[in-house]
Amino acid sequence: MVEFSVNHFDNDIVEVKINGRLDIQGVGSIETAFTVQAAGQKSKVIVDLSGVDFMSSIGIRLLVTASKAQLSRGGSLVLLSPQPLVREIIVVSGIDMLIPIYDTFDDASKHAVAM
Amino acid sequence: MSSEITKCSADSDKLKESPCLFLNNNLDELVLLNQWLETDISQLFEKSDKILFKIDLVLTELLSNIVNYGYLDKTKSEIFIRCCVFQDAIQFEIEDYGIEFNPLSAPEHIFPQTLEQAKVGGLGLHLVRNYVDKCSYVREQKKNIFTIVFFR
Repeated sequence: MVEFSVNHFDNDIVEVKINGRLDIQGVGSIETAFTVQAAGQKSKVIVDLSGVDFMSSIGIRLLVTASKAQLSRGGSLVLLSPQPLVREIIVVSGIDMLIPIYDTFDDASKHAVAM
Repeated sequence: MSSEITKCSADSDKLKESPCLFLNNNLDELVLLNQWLETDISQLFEKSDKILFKIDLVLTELLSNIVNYGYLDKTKSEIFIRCCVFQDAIQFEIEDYGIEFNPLSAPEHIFPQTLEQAKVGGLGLHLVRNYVDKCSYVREQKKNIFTIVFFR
């Protein structure tokens, strides 16, 4: 079971908070709606991963696809507060070198706007 | 990673063997894998143990790979997983009747230098290689048998 919520802030900042497992079933259940919110239009997207307790490669794909879409639109996407084991998967995948990770919303929003 | 791995059924040091799991080669069946891990396997460890996360990740990636790429004609087939617990390790044997494929022979994952170059194909097996402590592959009786070991 996975779900997400969306909050809009000034400066085109959109926070998308995901809760649950980003595995095949989880990604399948939110992929379309998540992509609309995180990649449907140019924004400064902060994906809050603090509520994600499991992520497989398909979860990485979800984040990379949305990030690439934002890049192509002139927007940006950053990650916020992944749990340690999820962060490790992101690092082992090498995605942390491509999509910045921040530990606080303030840092994430500052850098998302600056990108 | 070593290929010197003892089969579950032949090892005298084995402490106990947990139930086996049969899955159809359908991605929807991965829900059953999660249930099996949460019920039968998780009781072998402390709840917070990192090893459970690693097992979940590796089995999810391996089974996804088998289902997605192992059956070009979409023939219905079964995948069998056997778990056995040793004093210092937990071992899983995954058997499938898909096309011959040795996960250890897959090309190394190439880390993209830019987001534009980023592709996630092959990432699953990259994670498998990084999260298992030992693994081995054999092709026997038209089955792929992949054995993975996690040290406790």
